[in-house]
Amino acid sequence: MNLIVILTMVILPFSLMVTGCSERETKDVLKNEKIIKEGTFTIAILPEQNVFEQKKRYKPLAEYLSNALNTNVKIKLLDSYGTIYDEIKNRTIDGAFFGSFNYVLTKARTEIEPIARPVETGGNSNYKGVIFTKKGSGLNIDIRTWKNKKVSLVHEVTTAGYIFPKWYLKKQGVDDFENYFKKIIFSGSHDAAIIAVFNGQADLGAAKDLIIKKVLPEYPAIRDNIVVLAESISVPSNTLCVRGDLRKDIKLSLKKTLLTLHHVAQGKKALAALNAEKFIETSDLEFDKLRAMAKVIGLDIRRYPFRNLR
Amino acid sequence: MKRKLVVGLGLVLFIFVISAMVVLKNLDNIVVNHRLINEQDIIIGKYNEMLFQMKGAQAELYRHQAGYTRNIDDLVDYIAAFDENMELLSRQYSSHLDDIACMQCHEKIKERLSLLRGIFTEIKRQIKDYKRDVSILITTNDSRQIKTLEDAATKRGNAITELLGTVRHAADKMREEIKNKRNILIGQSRSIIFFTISFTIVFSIIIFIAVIKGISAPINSLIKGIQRIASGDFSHRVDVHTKDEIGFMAEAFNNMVEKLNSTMEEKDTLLRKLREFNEELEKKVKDATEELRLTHENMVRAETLAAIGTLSAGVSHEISTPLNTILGYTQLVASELNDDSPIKKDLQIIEQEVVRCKRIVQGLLDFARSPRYEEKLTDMNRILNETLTLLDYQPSMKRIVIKKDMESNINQVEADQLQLKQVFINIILNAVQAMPEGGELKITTRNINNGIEVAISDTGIGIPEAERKKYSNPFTQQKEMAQV
Repeated sequence: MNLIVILTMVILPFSLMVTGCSERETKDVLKNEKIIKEGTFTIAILPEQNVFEQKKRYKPLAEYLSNALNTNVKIKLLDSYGTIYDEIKNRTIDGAFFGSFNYVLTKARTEIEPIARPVETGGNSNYKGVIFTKKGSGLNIDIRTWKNKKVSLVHEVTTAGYIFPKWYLKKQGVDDFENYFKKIIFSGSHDAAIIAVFNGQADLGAAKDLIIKKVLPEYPAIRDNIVVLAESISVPSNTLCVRGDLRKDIKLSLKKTLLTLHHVAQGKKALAALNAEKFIETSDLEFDKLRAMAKVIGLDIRRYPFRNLR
Repeated sequence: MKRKLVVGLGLVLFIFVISAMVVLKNLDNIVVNHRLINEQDIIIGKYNEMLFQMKGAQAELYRHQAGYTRNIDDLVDYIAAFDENMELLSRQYSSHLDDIACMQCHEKIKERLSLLRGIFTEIKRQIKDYKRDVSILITTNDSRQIKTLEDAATKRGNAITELLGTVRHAADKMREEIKNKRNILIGQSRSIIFFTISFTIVFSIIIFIAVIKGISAPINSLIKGIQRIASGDFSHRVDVHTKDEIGFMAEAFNNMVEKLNSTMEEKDTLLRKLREFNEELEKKVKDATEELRLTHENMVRAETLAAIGTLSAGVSHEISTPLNTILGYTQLVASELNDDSPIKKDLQIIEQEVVRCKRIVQGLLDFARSPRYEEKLTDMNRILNETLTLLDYQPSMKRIVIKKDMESNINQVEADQLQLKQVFINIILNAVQAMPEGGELKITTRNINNGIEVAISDTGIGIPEAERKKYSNPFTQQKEMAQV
């Protein structure tokens, strides 16, 4: 009798535990299946440049993926680099085109899986962070000329728009990055950071070189007057990552579709809108150099806030 | 006829085609205006949509900035839809501006469209700046920049709304104008359609009547012509000068009548000739009958004469014997008488008369002898003298003076003496009969070449030329000849 009671007391909780786990897994599966069944696959886009342009750029890709995956692929614009983690965590999005540092931070806290990233027209799938000013600003590569100047950055969770300048000054011996400048403006997007410099709101700025190249044709004044003060190492450009809990076949199907996009006429149109040639596979290892950079500036990627202040 | 029908039908068809073209053109104008109104409705609808989208975007922006939402998709979608509408309207107006045909007729619209294009350019510029400002606004953390950008976005949003209000008002106005114009055009088109249909009906009736007349008039003329010709008036001609089947038929008919007329004239000519020929034939038959009758009479007379000749021969033969006896006895008695005896002289007279009687009798015998052609050398003077002697006893010869002019040495010619005498008797008797009151008979003989010429002439009334050919008729009565 006692043995039975003991066994029951031992087995029952275990059984309940096992059953509970099974139910949760079943619920997860059901939830995943629900997403598929509902026919919506949401991909978030970071506001790395003008949000209106971003939506326009990614819309053909969403349409193509909708047809190819037989599901409704929806593009969700984010108003801040800092919200992406919450969106993933809250499962309100299924994937996102992550900025490199954003990926590093999110990956450190939750399971996401890199799928592929676009190769820009010209063959570049990486980007560099660039510190720049405009001609006649009196600034040069000597960081001493930068001191007490107004700087226009993008966001605290961007490589080009925050981590690189901070790393660069750290390497130059500046530990107190925030106080080295008279004012730091977080413009929220790379093009806004560039425009802020040329509007006179800031003396120097930091942004992605790829965005600078895109902005130049639209703003002849910037094209003719920009002066690059420093460049970072290359890091992977916007990478499409999906939640780790998505079904494997969905991930594979998505990866396969993206990697063969350039073989299909409609896919080529979607690539053209993105100003890309094709998608290439991306692995987590490619972000290690960025993790090393974060380490240099003493940044704990597990605790670093996303500064989702807005 | 076929040509007339084709021409008539062609004209009617032509009028219908023209009418149809006019009607279609007007319908086309109405449809175009209707389409323009629909287009204008769509444009106004688009402006309303854009106003809604702009206001929606503004509202989303306020909600975002106020912290009610982090969702910017709706804001972006509003502006994207706004952009699409803007692009669509720009294309719409550009297509009108590029439409040369449109511009040629609507110079004022060109000005309006140019004005609209200017406003559109301004809206596009504003929306571009608006998007730039809003994009920075919703992503930046800089509070001072946020304030500035919020103000700028509000101002730009209001400016865009105001500009949209302006163009929508212009579109409303334009729609009203087009609608009014369409209504006027519908009225005009209705009148034109009514007029065209009326004109077409009237003209079709006129053409129909003209065609019917054009066909029936020549046919009637042809029928009348046929009737007149059928009644025998071959001089009539069908008066149809149309260059169609009826004209051809009339011409053929006239030709036929012409030939018929010629045939009839030929027939008349032949009939006339036949009648003349008949008359001539009748006359000839009559003449022949007369000749036959005369011949018959002559034959009867000849037979009579032959009988008389036979009788005369018999009588002469019978007389010649007593005459010979008388002559013998007279000569006997005379020979027995003395020369100075007064009886002898009387006897001599008796002898002479008896000889004379014998000669007459001999003449009768010769004359009554059956004619038998016998040529021999003949002294024509002697034959003429013997003939005169034979006729000398005729009382009618008493009042005729005979003149002889005979060749003394006349050539002897081969001839039937008896028949010559008969000929000379006839001629001389005719000549005598031609001179009932007396006259002169002249007989002339002459040698000519190897022959002779005998001419007998009188001073009588002569023989008409037409009757001279009868002269040779042996049975023509002497009296008749004389009368002739």
